[in-house]
Amino acid sequence: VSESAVPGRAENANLRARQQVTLVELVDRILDKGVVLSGDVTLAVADVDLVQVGLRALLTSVAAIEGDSAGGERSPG
Amino acid sequence: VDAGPEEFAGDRGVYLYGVVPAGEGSLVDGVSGIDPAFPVFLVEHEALAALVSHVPLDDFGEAGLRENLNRLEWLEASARAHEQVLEQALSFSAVLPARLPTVYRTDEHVRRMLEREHDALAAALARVRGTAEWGVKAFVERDQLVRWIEETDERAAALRADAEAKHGGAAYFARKAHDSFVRDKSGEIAAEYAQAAHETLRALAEEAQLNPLQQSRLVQRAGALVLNGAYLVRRNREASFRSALVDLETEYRGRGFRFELSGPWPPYNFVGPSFERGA
Repeated sequence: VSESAVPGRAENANLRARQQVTLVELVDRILDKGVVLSGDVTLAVADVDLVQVGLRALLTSVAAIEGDSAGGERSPG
Repeated sequence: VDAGPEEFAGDRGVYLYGVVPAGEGSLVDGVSGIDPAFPVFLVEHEALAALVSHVPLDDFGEAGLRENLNRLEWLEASARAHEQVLEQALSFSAVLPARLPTVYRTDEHVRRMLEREHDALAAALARVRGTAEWGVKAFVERDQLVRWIEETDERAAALRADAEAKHGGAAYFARKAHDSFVRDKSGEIAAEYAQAAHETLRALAEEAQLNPLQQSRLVQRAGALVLNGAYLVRRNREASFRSALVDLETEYRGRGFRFELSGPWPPYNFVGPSFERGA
């Protein structure tokens, strides 16, 4: 079992690899559900109380992570 | 009552990290927020406390977010800051995590959300108390699984022998028959084992959820993702949960399966949409 501890708790030597996996896991958790539930939402601060980003913006973000992970230059932390 | 422009307090919004039981948020009060200029504070209503901080609407308004969420550095820093606040809370309290980014106009709008969703949020906090979320992904290395099939499945072995014995066009068709058989068989076995692993882990969890198998787009891996599960596990069963996962990996390793564990997380996969309705 390879384990990716959440940020701040990784204690292992292979920190960088873990942190990368963790970022994907993190973004997956923090953003993904919103996409599924809300679709392509456009909400303005002036009209409603809650701002959420649209589907397109999120997918673009995830694609950016894909490209970045391939480069593998992220520093831990 | 609509909030007037004066309530925007210098073009700031109120960013929500999550909700904890009232009285359990004090240790997070004052820690660094998603914008370093504004520390975390609490908005309380009856049994609930929302963990929030001010954010500049230049960055967290609709237009700012549209731009910022597409900048990987901003997204990463924000996601980590969001998670860090929740993790500090998770270490001593039950937590309902909000998703990034959830921005209210004013403290009063947050309080109204707590009031309106009070019973649902209080019930959800009771549900997740004493637990944390763990993520488990299983990957399968197809070539290894195919080798295992050929070693253990008589039909696959016979088809392979047949393909090797033949020549020319006949060999081509025999090979196709073999490939098609092992492809179907490996798909079947991968799905079957993923389901079995999920059932094993679910039995040790309070709640479980299967998420879409969409990982391959995100990270390059040696294997295909066949299980993407989230498990809400009692803190005192974490050792059993980990040990079950080690057993699963030992059992399935020869067939090309590998498992990845992440956590403990705030229960992102186990909270409802209470935060997402307008106030």
